[in-house]
Amino acid sequence: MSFDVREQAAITFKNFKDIILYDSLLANSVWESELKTGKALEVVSLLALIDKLQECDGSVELVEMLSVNPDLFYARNEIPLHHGAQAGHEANLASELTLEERFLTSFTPKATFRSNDGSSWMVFREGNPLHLLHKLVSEGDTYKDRCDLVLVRGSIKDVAVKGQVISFTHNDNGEHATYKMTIKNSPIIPLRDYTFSSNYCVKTAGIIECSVSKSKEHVDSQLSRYHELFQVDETDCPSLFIHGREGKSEFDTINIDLSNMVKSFLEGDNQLLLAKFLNDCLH
Amino acid sequence: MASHMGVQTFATTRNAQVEGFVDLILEQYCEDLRALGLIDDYSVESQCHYESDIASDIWDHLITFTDKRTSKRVQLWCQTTCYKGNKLGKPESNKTYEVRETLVEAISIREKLLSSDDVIRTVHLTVGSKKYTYDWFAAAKENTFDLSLYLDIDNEDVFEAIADLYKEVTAEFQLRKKFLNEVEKDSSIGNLISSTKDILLQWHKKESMPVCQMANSQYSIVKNELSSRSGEIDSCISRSSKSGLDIKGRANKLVHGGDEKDELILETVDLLLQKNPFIKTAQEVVKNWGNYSSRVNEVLLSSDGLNEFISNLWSIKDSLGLVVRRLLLRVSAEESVHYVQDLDIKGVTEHNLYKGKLSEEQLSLVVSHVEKLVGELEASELCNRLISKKAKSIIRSAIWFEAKNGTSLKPSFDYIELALKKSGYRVEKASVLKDKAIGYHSEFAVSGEKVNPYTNLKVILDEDGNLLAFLKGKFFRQQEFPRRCKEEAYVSLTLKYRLSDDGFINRYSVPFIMFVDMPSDITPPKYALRRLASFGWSVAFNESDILGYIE
Repeated sequence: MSFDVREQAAITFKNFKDIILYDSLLANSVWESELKTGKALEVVSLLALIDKLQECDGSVELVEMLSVNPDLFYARNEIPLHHGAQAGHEANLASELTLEERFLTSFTPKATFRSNDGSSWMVFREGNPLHLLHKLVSEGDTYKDRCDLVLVRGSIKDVAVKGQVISFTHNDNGEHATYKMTIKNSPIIPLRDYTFSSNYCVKTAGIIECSVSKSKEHVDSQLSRYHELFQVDETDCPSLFIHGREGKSEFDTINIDLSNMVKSFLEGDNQLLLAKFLNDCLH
Repeated sequence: MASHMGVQTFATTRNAQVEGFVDLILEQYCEDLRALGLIDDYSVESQCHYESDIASDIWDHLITFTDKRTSKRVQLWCQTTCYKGNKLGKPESNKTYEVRETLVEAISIREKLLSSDDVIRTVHLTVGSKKYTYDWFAAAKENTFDLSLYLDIDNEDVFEAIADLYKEVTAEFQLRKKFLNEVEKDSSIGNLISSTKDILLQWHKKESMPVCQMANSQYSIVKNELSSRSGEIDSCISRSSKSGLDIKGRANKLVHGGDEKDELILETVDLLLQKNPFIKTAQEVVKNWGNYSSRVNEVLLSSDGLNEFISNLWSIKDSLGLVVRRLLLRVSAEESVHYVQDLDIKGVTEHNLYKGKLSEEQLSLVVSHVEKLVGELEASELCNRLISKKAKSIIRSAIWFEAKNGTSLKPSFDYIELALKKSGYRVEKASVLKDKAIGYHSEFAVSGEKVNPYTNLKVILDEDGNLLAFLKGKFFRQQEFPRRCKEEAYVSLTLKYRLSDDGFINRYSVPFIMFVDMPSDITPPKYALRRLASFGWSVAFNESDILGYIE
């Protein structure tokens, strides 16, 4: 069943063939899990989004480390936290990824799109780390919500690891923020230092929620919550719901036939909706 | 349902907060050294993995820097232990295992210290009440780490003070700011930070980080064991894969109604049920839930009010009391069941809570405790709770849990003892020996700190009563294998040798045999077995291995 989805995805999204067919616990947990878990739908949605970005005026870049270690492509954009009840440091020792890799992955976009006019957008999965960090330093507050896919203005540069400290800069048309985090298991976000330019803010350009089972009400309230969270200048960012069943959200909805998942993304109406979403995000 | 994991969650959060707190102290220590021009290029890393032939341990911190006086790289490996204390200020016996593990980690890393070109030292930081652990730990740590520090605040709970630092803090930079504020304010936690840092600076500047020679001597025993018994150790490792007899697993299956043909396992289970009559009674209660419910109802009818109902239930004299007491403590706990010692009732321990006879005062305190748990219920409502489906499921879980985890239940040890007795050997408690089974760490004590003899240790004797070997038997689950080896390693090391004017010398010439019972399909980690053996144990997986060591 899911094996067919994997094969089909590898044929359709050729640039990602090696990542899709990568044989590891993390990759296999996406492709070999039952479709009703929604894992495959989320990753195919990500691939379809990047594929569609390639048709836009500009170029799509993939950070080299994602090709070198495809597990990083599958990992969430989530800042690692040490939770209570994980006895000792089991999580660190048992993980397929090193703690350093987990920190690197947390803010590394799954893809970066550079438009012909020089602007950039990044795609993140299961987290909006730059927004979270900025909210933390500007409002002293944090949150646990993680949208499935998100487009954020700007790009990441100057990534450096020195000893146990990892640093990077988020740049968006001249406005920038630099963050330094300690690579460690910690119950609080190990952000040790930061600087940002006077007009810096994180502009979330688009949100996608994927689900195979959520009700319309659930998705509507989730997307509304993200709008509230990511709103800049009282403007809501474009949103899209990718649904593995029939039924529409009050937001633009792509309905996917799970028994023919990859091909379903390529159907005319769905391609039009994806193109419209990206057009709204990039302009 | 009430879960024992709750306690673990609180402990993990507390430990993580303490680790972050210590992290900042160590960072400030390095920053001060750098400002004084004494060091260069420092880093403070957390949760560092130390790996060798006999170790795979996580150390809480590793500090590295270049000492400008010598131009040498320095590594300071640091471990932190939390002693949370309790209202009674009584030592917590379970802490002994953790301390043994820490001491074994510190001895194991000496190999690196003695062979590296870098200057390597070990530091131990104890956070919390010294009273919570046995007196001898302080002396043992001082003789096993290069530096041992104690962090506590008089008349204040140090953990609450640390937790206050974390209040409304979501990121490291906020914590650091609060931390430096406290130092400036001269608050009690601020003073603790400054005084700890000062001790470290003093140790570094004036004393030049002296080496603990006693720690080196302890490692030299391990090194000798490794080289003199290399053949035996290699052979044990090579035959270890999938060689577990799984006595504990098989005994458990039998307790839960499975079949077993091995006569010795049948005898082992008979012993197990004798030692924990709760299991047998609970099985009968679950089978005849109606009878049990009638008994509880009878007690209700003869009681006047909730307090008397609880008191009468707790005082049931026959074996049903074993079931009812467990339920009284568990059926109303919504989130987590606290450790027994956290009831803070003098004289009540995990060993006598359910089966011991309590004094009137203790009984009244236990009843008050249960009343608090029950809340605003009528006696009849508590009665309904005690005979509910939830209660039945709690008892089922307790049977499952206690058949596996009872502190007095050692099917693996019982089995091997029965097997050896059948082969004509005498197996007795180690206390039959004139010489008490007290480890050499008792000789580190400087102010008469008492070290108790090791318990759960037996001796194998021939027909004439001659000592042939020391024996211990234990079940090693896959996940706990390395930890079990670590905690047991300290026992053989400290008992097999004694401290003389010329250093450590052999105290016994007979083998120390550890019967390792484990699931039949596992392959133990090599380093863990090598550690167990190099600290003195001869490892056996079955009776024939044991006979090989003693015949």
